[in-house]
Amino acid sequence: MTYRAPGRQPGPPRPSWPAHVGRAADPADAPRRTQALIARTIAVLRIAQVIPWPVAVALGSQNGIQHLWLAGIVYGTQTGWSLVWATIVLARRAIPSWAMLIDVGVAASCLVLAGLACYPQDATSWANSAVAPAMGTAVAAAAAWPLIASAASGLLLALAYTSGVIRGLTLSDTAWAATVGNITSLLGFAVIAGLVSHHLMRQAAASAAAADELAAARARRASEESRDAERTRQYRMLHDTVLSTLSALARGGLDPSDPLVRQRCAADADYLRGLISSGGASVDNQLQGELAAVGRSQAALGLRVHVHCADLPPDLPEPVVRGLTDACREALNNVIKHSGGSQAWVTAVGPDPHSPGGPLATLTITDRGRGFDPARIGPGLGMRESISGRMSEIGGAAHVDSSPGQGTTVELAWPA
Amino acid sequence: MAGMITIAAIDDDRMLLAGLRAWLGPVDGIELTATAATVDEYLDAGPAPADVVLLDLNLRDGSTPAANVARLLDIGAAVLVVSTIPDAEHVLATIEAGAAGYVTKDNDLPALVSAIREVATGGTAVSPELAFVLSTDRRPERPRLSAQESLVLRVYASGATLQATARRAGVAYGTAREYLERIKRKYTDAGRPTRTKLDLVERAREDRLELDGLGPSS
Repeated sequence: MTYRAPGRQPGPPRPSWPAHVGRAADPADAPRRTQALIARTIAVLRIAQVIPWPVAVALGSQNGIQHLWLAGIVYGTQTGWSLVWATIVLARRAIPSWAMLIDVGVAASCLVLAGLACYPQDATSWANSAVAPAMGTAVAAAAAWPLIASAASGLLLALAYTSGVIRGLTLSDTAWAATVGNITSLLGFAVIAGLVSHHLMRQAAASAAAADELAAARARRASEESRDAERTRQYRMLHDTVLSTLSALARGGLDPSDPLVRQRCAADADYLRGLISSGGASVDNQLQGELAAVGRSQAALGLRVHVHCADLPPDLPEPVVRGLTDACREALNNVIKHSGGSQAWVTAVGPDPHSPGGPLATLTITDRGRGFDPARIGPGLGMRESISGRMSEIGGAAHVDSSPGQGTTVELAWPA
Repeated sequence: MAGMITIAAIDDDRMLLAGLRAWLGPVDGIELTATAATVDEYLDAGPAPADVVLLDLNLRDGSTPAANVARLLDIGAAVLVVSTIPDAEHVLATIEAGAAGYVTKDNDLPALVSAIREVATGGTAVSPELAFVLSTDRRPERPRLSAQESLVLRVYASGATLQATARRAGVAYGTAREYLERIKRKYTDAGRPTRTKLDLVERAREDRLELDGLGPSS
């Protein structure tokens, strides 16, 4: 006959931060935010760079265009693609490598074709629609890619531009000057963009690393503090129990065969035994120390508690240790109230290596008392609230097994 | 039980031996015939063989628990290992060395007497604390247990009575008991090859001593 306690929605507890901390800039997030900022800036730049050409054409630059249809197709293609590119980049908050690759291809082709669409002597003027967007492409490549890839794409764009305007270079010196100027701008902006964005990313990474280190140091200190607290608590408990008992006996005058003295000695011995696990490290294990202490305090109420621990994880979250300990104390209270027995066994084991994904800690509280029929009696208030309630609060589960005359076992598992 | 069970106790704590003598004094059918601080001291006295030897797990003379068990088995005693704390490594070693059972010293008199009677009749004494040590054995070389055996072991290790263990595992009382004995036997069997090897080394050494000067025997 078993009864599974109804649990509220289980799930491991998450650390709850004060609301303002969640909104404040988290340094660990800095690289992602910097990358998004760079991507956003360049996307806006790209959209801005398709505006000048139609304006220039309207203001008279169309005189330099030899094949208006070709210039129109080139501009249309490049503008359409730039909008698509900017949308992708804004949506992903980063520049995907494949989009960059297509972008360089489109920009290089447009540079060649836009140059050819112009009269040879006008290919280096505003009549060439592909120059401004190509600068945006070079800037984006420098920000998105490491040095060699961005240098290669800059070089490719410079070559494409040159091959588009090459027919005009033999005609005038001004065409030469304009070509050199355009290529210098194309590469210069890219170099500056690359330096700035890589610098920003490095800063962001450094700040994230520092934040990580700080968090790790804080966690180390918290765990040291909790170990210290556990040790202090254990010393106090040892002082109040074992040491006091031994001192009183050594002073003489107490009759060691007095049942009260013997009961106290047995309780102290059970406490010491509970502090030592049969497997795994037990020094400073908070849960183990707490369980031994719970057992010792129940001994004052006349219950002998045998605590056996093995392989308990040393780093269970504080609320979980507290929840398990409280639920265990309540289960032992039930033993005193209902079982009619004078002994209880508490076992606590860590994760089972043969069933990964199972609970990290499993506790059982067992008595050999009169038991009950769970189908007839159902869970009492203590079981419902104090045990199941506490367990579901920490994301664990409680399970009771009993049968008349055969004792009762309460099993606590975390996480459920 | 008709016959008298004779027991010996080996423990380096004199106070504990005195207490044990007083404790077992009034118990019918069990007689403490010898006490010693070490296995050497016990064997040197050339004792009338006791049916059951209560052996403290960690004697302070530097002897190994498993070797102590082996030496006592050699004179035909059943060994019930006792200790203050279930030190898993050595408890497992003594069980693999052939000890009949293990109990911690915090058990009450009826529990100890029942373990002694069980062991004296050739049975095994699987206490909840021994079951706990066996059920949390994480060594790669541990004997393979069936799912049912593991379940019975785990439930019994939680302190449940054998009756409650059988019900929860969905088996008959006798079956649960048989499972516990089978698990214990698996451990003893797992320890046998090592034991045999140790015996052979010992034998060979004795042979060499007898054939002193004639070169190593093969």
